[in-house]
Order: sequence, then C-alpha cells, then structure tokens
Amino acid sequence: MTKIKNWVNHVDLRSFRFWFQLAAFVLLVYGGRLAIDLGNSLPTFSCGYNRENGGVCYLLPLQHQLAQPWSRLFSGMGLAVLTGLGTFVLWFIVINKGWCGYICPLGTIQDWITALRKKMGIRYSTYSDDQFKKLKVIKYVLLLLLIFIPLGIGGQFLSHDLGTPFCKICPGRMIVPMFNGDFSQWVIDFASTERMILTALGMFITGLFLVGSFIKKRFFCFFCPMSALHYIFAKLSPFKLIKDGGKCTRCGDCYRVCDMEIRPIADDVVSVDILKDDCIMCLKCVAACPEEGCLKVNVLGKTVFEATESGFKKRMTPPEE
Amino acid sequence: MSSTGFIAWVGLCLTLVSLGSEGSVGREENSPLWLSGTPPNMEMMKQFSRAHGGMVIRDEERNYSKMLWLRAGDDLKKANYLSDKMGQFYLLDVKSNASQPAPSSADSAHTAIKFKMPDEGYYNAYYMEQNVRDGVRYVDVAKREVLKHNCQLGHDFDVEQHRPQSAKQIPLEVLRLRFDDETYHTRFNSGKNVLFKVLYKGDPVANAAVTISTEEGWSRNSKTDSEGIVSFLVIQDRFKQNEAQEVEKKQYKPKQTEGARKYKKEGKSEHKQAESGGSHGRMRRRSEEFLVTVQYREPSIGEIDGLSYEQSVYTTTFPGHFSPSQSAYKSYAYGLTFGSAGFLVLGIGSYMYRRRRIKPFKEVNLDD
Repeated sequence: MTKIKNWVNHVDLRSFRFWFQLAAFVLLVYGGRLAIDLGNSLPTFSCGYNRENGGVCYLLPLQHQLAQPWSRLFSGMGLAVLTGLGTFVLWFIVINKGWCGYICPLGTIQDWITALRKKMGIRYSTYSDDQFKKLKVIKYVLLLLLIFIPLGIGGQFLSHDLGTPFCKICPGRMIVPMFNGDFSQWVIDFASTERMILTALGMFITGLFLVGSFIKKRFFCFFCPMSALHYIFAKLSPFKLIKDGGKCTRCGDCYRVCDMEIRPIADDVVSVDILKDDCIMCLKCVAACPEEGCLKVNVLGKTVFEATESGFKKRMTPPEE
Repeated sequence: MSSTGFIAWVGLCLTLVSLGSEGSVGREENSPLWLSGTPPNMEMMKQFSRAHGGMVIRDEERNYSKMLWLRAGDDLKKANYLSDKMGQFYLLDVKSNASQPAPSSADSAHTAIKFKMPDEGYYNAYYMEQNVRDGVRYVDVAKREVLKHNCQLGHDFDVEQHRPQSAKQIPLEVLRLRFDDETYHTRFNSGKNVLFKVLYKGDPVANAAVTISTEEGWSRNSKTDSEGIVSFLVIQDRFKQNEAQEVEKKQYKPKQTEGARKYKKEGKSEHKQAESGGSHGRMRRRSEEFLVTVQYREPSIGEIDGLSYEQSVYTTTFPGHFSPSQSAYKSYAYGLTFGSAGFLVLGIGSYMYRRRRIKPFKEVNLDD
C-alpha cells in the first residue's frame, strides 16, 4: 500500500495528465464511432454538435428542456429536467472539477495550444488582480443567461430562434466537430436576426478563443458557465482539494503553476477545502508543492495524492540526458 | 322581398357557407387521394403543437397522437378535405405491427385517421379505396410516412430499424429510400436527390409513371428504372410561410414580443409580418409540401359489387415536405470573416500591448 502511495505521490503529473486528457478526448470526440454513448448529461464540453461524440455536454439538453412551454415545463416535463440535472450531478461528483482539468475536450485543446506556444518560445500573458476579479463574473452572467433565455422562450417572451443561446456562442460548437472534419458550424445563419447575431458572435468568439488560448493559459475557462454550474455542486463531491495552512510557507509555487491564476491557493492559509470556482482541478498545485502534506487530494476523507518533498524534487529534477 | 332579391340572398348565403367550411368535401373524378397533416380549419389547428415530423396532439402525459386528413386533388394548396368513408385506413407502426383503425371521431366532418405514437421511429398510415367505373377498377391508395423523434432519447439513427416499410394489404407501394447520412433531423433540402421505390405486390416495378408536384405548382414526370427506383432533385422554391407555420408562430410567439411590437410600431399588419418571414419559422423552418403520385395499369378481369371490369388502374400517393437548402441562408464567407475579425482583434491587440510594454526607454532631451 505504501509503495502504491509513494508511486502516486512521485508521479510525473504532466505526462499522466497528457495521456489521460488524450484518452478522454478520443472517448468524447470520437466515441460515437466506437458506439460509445455516455448519455446527454455530461458535465463537460463534449459538444452535441459533434456527430461522433461519445456523450453530450449537459448544457445543450438543459437549454433545450428549459425552452419548453411553461405549461409542460412545470408539469411532467419538470421531472425530465430534474432527472437530467440529477444525472449531471451524479457524473460531476465523481471527480469534481477534475472534469475540467482532465476530461473537457475544449480544455484539452487549450492545453495543446499552450504547448504549441511553449514550443515556439512565446511568453504567456496574465491578468492583473483587478482584471481577474472582473472577468470571473462573466461565467455566472452566462450561466444566468443560458437559464433565463430558454425560460423566456418557454414563457413566450422571446423568440425560439434564441434557443440554446450559449451553444450558439460557444467556440466548442465550431472547434470540437472540426476534429471529425466537420466545418458545418463555421457559418453565419441568416435565417433570422437572432440566429444571425448569435452565430456571428459565436464565430467572433471562436477567433478570440484561438488567439486567447495561445497567449493565455486556459483562456476560455474563465468565462465557462459549466465551471460556474460545477461550483454550485462542488461541495457535494467526495473528491476534494485540501490545504493544510499550517504547513504552507507561502512560497507561491502553487500559484505560479496554476493555469487559472488562483491567488488564494497560495495566500489562503485558513481554508481547508481550497477548491475555488475557477479551479480546474488539474492538481498541478499539489505536484508543485514542496511541503509534505500541505496540499492533498482526498476522496471520501482518504488521501489519494499529496504533496511530498521527495515527489517535488523528483518532478523538478530534469531528466538525465 | 322580390324573387330576384331572394335568389341573390340565398346565393350569397350559400357562398358564405361554402367559404366558411374551408374547402368542400367532394372529390373530383380521377383526382389523387392523399393524406395531409394540416388540419382543415383554424379551430382544429389550435389543438396541435409542433414536434419532429409535423404537428401533433400532446396529452397531459406528453403522449403524442398524430392526425391525418384525407384530401383529394393535385393542387396541394386547394385540395379538398374529404368526408368519404368508402375506403379503409391501415396503419403500420414502427415495429411493423399492422392494424386497420376506424376513421377518427375527433373530426366528424372530415375523413381522418388519428393514431398514437408511443415509440420512436416511422409510422406509415394508408387509406385505400376502390371502385369500378366504365369497366375499369380504380384502386386509390394514399400513404403518409410520419416520424416520431424525441431528442431526449438520443440521436442514434439505426438505418436498419428505420428502413422504409410496406404493408401487405397495399398493392401499389411507394417507399422513400433513406439517405446514406440520414438522421432524425434530416430534411429534404433543395439540391438533395430523393429516391423513391415503387413496389407492386411486393416486387419492384420498372417503367412506372411517377409524378412529383409541389405546393407552388411545379411538377415533373419520370419513370422508375429496372429496380423500381426513381429519383428527384429537390428544387429551390419560394417557400412562403404556410398556414400551419402562421398558427404555430401565433402559439409560440404572441403579439407582446419585441418583433411584433416593432411591426406594430411600423404599421405593418400581422399578415405582412407572416409574409416577411414571421418570427418563429423564418427561412430555416419554411417548408413546402410535395406529392409523389404513381400510377400502374394492369389488365385484370373481375367484379366488384356487381360491376365487372377488365382493367385495373392503381394510383398511390406519397406526400412530404421539403425545405430550402441551408446554403440559401447560411454563409461560410461571413462566418470566416467574423472568425478572422475576432482572431485579428485579439491577435493585433495583444501584440500591440506587448510591444508597448517592452518599448525601450527613450531619453527626452529638452532644448533649453
């Protein structure tokens, strides 16, 4: 048992994560070709517009269901919405926000773009504290819009052409099907004014996504409403990121490796459950922490991965030529 | 009142009555019979709601029921709703279970079939009647294929499970062959090649005369090949908003919406709004009805109700909807323009920002 624990704590997280993300990407982007179907309540951007997907992002059916006429939504249909939400929560709590750091195809694509930037030797950008605080609100605004716009459609206040509004502006709709050679979403839909505006916005955001991901690590994750929805249920998950403030020297290593620039991971020495709303649970902070047991991952109260001095040294030592 | 005045008054009343009934219930000789999914009047239409495969009646448990009306005439806009009860309805459900439902009592003024659609897939409804005139037996078959799909049940379209079906009781069948890339959301868009197969008593019919006609009046004749297959290229048409879409628009987007307020402000009537595309349907949801008619003649001797015949003429119809091509309202060029705009705005913006930040210090020399 101690041997396994040691092996896990000394793991080359970067390599492990790369292969895990690749496997998840193949499963969710090409899974349909292998007759894999994980349902349509996945807590990750497995785009429903990708015909070969191995499961569908929950945001698509959620928006679709909420746009039903109120008479149906607040009767039998309401049960279907609750069932979908329940399935989403059950999937989500398994690995908490690890869905973002290890499984999300759009997140993986952003990591690959970051790797390309690194190879080209171009430095990355960061946000100032003030920018960070302002930008992180956007995902909650998007979450509210993707709930209330469909409700407005169901209540007959808004046009049906505003249906699935977030999907229309999500770069995943354009980017993910592209990996199956499908560029059919790279269009402006002039069928109505609403569709035209949303699809134009979607294409504009796709352009921003490609450049943004190149110069800023996990650029889109700051604005992701799925991340906001995750955080609502994060406390229910038995998969937790724990910090022992007493062991923290505030060296800042964890903050420096954090793709999401979450400052409290270094500054907060009071909170035990250190998971923040922007966290993607990539666990790079745990791998980069040199203090024995300062940061750890607990599942049902049991530590499965923790910071160790020897693990830190092993990871920081360049491989022998 | 003078006799002339009385006759004029009666004439006016009769005219009004005939207009109010939304189409007469008679059938012109040799006009094709077909099954329509459009309700005969506005009152009936209000009971329906939108679903994949056309308008349906949903009960409180969200069970779907479909209703189809028997119409006659190849002018699809003006075809009469019939009240004949001479023939027999047949129904093939998604599992190929056959039944012979009685005409629906939900619309006593017209001949209609109403059936529940509990499972996902294609239902095939038929109406068949036969009669003998001038020594010829006329067998008229009206067929309609209706799809039930619920997005919540997933989108795995099993081509084998959803293959076109034929009923044993129907002598002359028209099957709409599936596209290679068919899904539950496949539409017959302009520019697509749609294939139909004609079967007579289960066997393919070569050289059968097939006519396709559309709501706006276009029609084309063709003949089946040796395998009984005929193909039609779906045309680009005007795609005016139809009556069903107007009602649907009213149900889903009433007058208080922004679009309607705008039109009201601009003094445009509701009719104008519908003409210009309305709000709900617009270009993407517009569709037009088509009717495929197949006729097959065969020398045969027999007798029906004491009337003898020496030849049989079979006529089968198969209606459906087609829609504008997506390229009519979707643009890659504009898509790439907006994508490039986003790319360039952030790309150039970031580059300029970085350049500004690494600009070397420049000494300012003041000339004093």
